[in-house]
Amino acid sequence: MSSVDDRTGAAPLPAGPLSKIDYSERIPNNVNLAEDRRLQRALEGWQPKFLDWWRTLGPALPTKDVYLRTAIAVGRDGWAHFAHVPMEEYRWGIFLAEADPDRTVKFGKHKGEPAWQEVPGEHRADLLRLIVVQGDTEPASVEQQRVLGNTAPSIYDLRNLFQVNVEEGRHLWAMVYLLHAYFGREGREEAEQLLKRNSGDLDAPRILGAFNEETTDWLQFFMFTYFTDRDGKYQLGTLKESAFDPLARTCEFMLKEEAHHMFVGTTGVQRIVERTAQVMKENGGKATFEDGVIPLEVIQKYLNFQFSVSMDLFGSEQSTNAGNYYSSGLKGRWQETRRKDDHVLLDDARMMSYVEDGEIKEKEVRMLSALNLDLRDEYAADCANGVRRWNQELEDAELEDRLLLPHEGFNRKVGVYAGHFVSPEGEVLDEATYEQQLGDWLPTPEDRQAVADLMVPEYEYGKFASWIAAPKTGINDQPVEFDYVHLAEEGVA
Amino acid sequence: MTTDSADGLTWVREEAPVWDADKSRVIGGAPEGAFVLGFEDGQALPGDWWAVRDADDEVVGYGRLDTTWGGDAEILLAVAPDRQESGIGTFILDKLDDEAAARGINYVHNRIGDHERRDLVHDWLVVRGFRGPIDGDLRKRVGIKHETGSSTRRQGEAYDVSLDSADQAPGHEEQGGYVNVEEHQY
Repeated sequence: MSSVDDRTGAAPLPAGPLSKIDYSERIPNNVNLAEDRRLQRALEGWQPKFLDWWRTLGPALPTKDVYLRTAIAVGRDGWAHFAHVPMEEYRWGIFLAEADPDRTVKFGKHKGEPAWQEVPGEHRADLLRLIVVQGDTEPASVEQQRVLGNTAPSIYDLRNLFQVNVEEGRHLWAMVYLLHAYFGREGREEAEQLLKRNSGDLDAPRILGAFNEETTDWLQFFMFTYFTDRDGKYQLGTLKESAFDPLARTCEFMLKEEAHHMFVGTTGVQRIVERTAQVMKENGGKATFEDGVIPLEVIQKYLNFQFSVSMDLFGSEQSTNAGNYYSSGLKGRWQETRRKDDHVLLDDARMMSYVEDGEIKEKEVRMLSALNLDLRDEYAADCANGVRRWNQELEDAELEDRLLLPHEGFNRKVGVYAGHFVSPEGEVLDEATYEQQLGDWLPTPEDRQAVADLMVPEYEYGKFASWIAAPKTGINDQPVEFDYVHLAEEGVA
Repeated sequence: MTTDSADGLTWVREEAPVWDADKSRVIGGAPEGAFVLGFEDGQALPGDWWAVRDADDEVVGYGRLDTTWGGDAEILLAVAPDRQESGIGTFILDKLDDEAAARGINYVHNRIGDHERRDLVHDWLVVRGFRGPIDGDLRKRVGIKHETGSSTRRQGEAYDVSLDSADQAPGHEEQGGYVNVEEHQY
């Protein structure tokens, strides 16, 4: 089913044949790695380091095997295979979406020219940086979620966590392939660094502060996969438009896998809200931690936190670099080809909110300078969809309460709102008033501790922790009570 | 937002940065090719900008932080041509470091334009923690700061090796002592 939007027009029909991935290779791939012995050897040299990283900083809970999805083709149908796999034997590999030999650059000053199959010298440094920044986020989230398995609310959820983890690992492979294949010695060094920087490491942390915080509980995990992985989805969406064809094709396939991560977040929060709403209805109003569920106001605080820090990920509203990336053809806009404009944007403008004299005002800015904001707006609109879905659970339980997305200026450290004190409702406050109410808007240490106290593992097949409802269906048409994960003896103890 | 330094320098955030005469003098005074900005007078500028003012309230430098997705943060640093080699560049870099840290950014990037002094600029950045090729992307871990103890020393001032706990000169080879690359002055 395709959607039609007044602004972007109709979605293009899917195209391209199925392209099988060769699983006889040591590194599964659809990039003819066997024909490039030098590249193959370089990647085979990186592989043990990756596995070492996975063993050291990947999921901590010992397992025998997990019912995982593995990519077997990159076409539009039947691209994944499901089976129980020991996680260390997961077939991480290199998969690019099908090539279109006639693909042209769709935006910027190179618009209409053939897409690049090699890295142009003038854009080498920028492309290298974009790939490194993207690559850095992939293993970071695996490291952040390392110990979550110890408190999984069900075997079903444990499996979903591991699926997200192995696919983030594969996304790291995707970026490392580009570094090795197109950036020579410098690329190989950066690939090494992607394993040496570690989440929370004081000497060599991950690039962004947000990727150095440990994911402490499952509510945060679900909020992370909903808001922060969605952030990644939008970034991949802009790189999918890149004039550098291998990057575009890599990101296109990554987006396909990323959809599952969105699903985990959307349904995870929805099931928590469903359970809370059920208890609220039974109680005729409030639900508290004593009821064995997460109170709605605490869910709202977690939502406020994860949305606001994810908004910071987009950078400043206005950026020279973002404009340069666009004009050079390195990064497009979300759904670039469906936009109804000239795709060059030299004469375009848009409105931007900012704070002045204690008020939120608007001014006109050049579109080319405001592409971070353009992407962030698309993201925020998408986020609102999930909140509507969560609120449906409250409505179905005949409750008046609703979850809300906070104002874009709330709790911001980056951009025009940084240094200002904006409430979730969008009111500009003085610092003292803001600080006084912050505990009502963001999770306090006590809130986090109370949530953590609920996080007792439930490893019995088909059973779920008290604070989360069971899903309506299982994975890949399997029943909810399916044995998605076989724990190792030491994991059960 | 302002910050005072011991050197009488003040770090002033520009809430609504525009291209103006001061920027033209300070940034425009850099060697040709150092910066590609191309703004017109009065044009609003993207990114976060700060001016550095001296004790006489004159603008003697600028710092800019340009952040895009995922912590991709690039700095711009410019010192008025007649005030270079007096520690203002180090002051700006330290302040930009603080600003990046406040935004949750752990690394900053820089690119050196193709100009006659690019070798010197590259060396200057390397001793302040940047790593990367002269014609590529340079990256620095936020929080690694250049020791400014020797940076305020005036050119031509005698170097007293007995005051240097490491028995190393700060890179003024002509004044004797070993070269400590971390202290190298340009």
